[in-house]
Amino acid sequence: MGIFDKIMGGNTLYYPGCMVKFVMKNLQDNYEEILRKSGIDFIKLNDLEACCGSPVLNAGYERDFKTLAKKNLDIFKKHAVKKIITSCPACYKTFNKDYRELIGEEWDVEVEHVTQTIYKALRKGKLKIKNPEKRTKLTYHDPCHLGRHSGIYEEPRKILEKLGYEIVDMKSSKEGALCCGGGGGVRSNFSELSNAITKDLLEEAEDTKTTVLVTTCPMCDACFLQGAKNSKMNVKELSELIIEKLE
Amino acid sequence: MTNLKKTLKSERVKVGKETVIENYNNYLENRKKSQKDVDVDKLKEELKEIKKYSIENLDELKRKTIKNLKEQNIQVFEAKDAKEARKIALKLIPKGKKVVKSKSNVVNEICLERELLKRNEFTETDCGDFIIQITEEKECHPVSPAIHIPLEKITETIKEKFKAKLPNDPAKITHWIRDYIKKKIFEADIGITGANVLSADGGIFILENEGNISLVSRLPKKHIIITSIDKIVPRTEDAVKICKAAAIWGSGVPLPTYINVISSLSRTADVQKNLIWGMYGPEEVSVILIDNGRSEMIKEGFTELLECINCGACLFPCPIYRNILDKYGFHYFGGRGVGMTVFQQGLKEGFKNGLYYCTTCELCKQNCPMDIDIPKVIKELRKRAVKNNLETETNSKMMDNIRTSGNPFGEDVKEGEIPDKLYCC
Repeated sequence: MGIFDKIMGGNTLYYPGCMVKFVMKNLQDNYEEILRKSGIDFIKLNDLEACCGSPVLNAGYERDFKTLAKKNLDIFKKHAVKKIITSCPACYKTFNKDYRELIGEEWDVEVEHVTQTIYKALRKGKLKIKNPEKRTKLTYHDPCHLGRHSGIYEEPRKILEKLGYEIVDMKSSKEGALCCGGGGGVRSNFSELSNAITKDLLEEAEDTKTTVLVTTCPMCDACFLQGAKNSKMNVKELSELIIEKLE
Repeated sequence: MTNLKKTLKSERVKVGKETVIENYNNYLENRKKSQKDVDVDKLKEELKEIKKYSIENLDELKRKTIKNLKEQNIQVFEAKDAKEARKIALKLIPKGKKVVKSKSNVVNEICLERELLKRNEFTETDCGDFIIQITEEKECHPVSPAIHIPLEKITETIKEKFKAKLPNDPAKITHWIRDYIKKKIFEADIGITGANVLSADGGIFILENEGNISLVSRLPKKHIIITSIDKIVPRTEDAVKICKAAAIWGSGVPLPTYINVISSLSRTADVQKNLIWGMYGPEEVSVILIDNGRSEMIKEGFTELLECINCGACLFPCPIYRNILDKYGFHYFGGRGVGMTVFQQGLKEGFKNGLYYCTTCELCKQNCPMDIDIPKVIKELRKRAVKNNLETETNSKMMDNIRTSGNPFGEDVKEGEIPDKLYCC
């Protein structure tokens, strides 16, 4: 994208979201590399960024959510952000649905989940991956914010297939996928309850007889990593599998 | 607040959860099968339309319902809250009379059993409810109230209380209960039931699979129907659609075993065309129609809570419900139960009984025949809680972090470590 296009078309922002930026930092490095290799010209706002407001809205702090939305809108305007690519399903859903609902037409930012971006790059041949040697089986967890809330079920699956994996779906998947236990503030407020829910999902993952559980949400990933200490499943975030296979 | 640690480890939750998970896929398959000849999208759309219209025109439809029922010699009493409903019911039920009851969420809601047990011989006739009654437990699901009671506990209780020795065999237990209850129904003076739907053209619709309701509503001399204003729809045809949906989503069958329709006192005009009321059915039928917070729900814009047809399909997949059963909610369970609690017991009780348990995963919405957006309702009620200074300690800390540093974690995060408090999502 040339400088002229940038001014006319605006900037594409990679928004990792707080979970990735502060807790699952390795994922940020992964996604930045994948996006670069996909030929995406993106900017980062680092410390200038604020929380999208998802946990704030879920917890009922309406006024704070409005303040955050206004703050983000101003930051994005200042940096001519016309498109956001985020690797967090919660941020994706918040920007794509809640901001549109709250702000209305003034919110003219295109929002993409990183799996949509990556799948496009793979399809167009912009992102090159090593030829898969053999098809390994694994299971994929649909994050609630990406699946049921946003209707994105196919892109992550197609990426995994292109990487050479065969997906064995859990008993509850896609529209009926279980919750990881991390949503709605339950992880921080009621950790025992959250752990019990995570365990339910890990048991379904074990029932697939595969050994790898992959997801594409930092919160699900964190819940599974903590829960997997007592499980046979090897927990992966999608970017980790992509990075391994980049050319 | 519920002691979550204790609840999560309890035997009742263990048993209930196992039953739920084991049967869930079966239920889903049956539900799919039962929808074979149904245009599901069309049915759902019609249901939504019926409920929306009914709530918008509730006052008028209520007046019409009452007028039509009264014209057919059915007494109707209105009660604004649980206390008033109890008072009316107790006046209709003289002390010492033998009372049998079928499953009714509204009767649970007004806590009538508690009073009846003090002054009447009282028997639950729904098999699950009877198990709950004799084991002195609490029901945990609107359609399957006793899934958390182990077989051994049922046989032990029957042995202890009724001196009957039974093997731990579901069929043997069920048949013993059937025979015991049938006798009680034949001896009863008064039958109490709920109602699934009321149609303003004068019909009371009560669904069942066991056959107890037909008996409870026909055999005793007096039949009392305790139900709520949100059950009213305009026409008989609308009521039938709701019955159909309740069977599909509630039990995974295309139709319930029986649909009872009551529209008048039993009657005959066979002797010289003289109309005589009270033939083989009860001699007196009364309806107690309760509000108990429902008008407020409508006024405050929470009408979705009243679109529920009580099938319980939202509960089985709910990650929270699976792990704590009836501790999520109060008289009604799950996220919708919490919503009902807020309007019936107050915001504080809603807060204590799970306002912050919902993970907003939307599995409930996905499974609801009415597409009720329970997580949205919960989020709206959380806004209300915050405005009334009802915050969890954790959320209040998260908000401090957000307000001071723009992110929910603040300074708490150590590199390479997943912190205990994952303030996000």
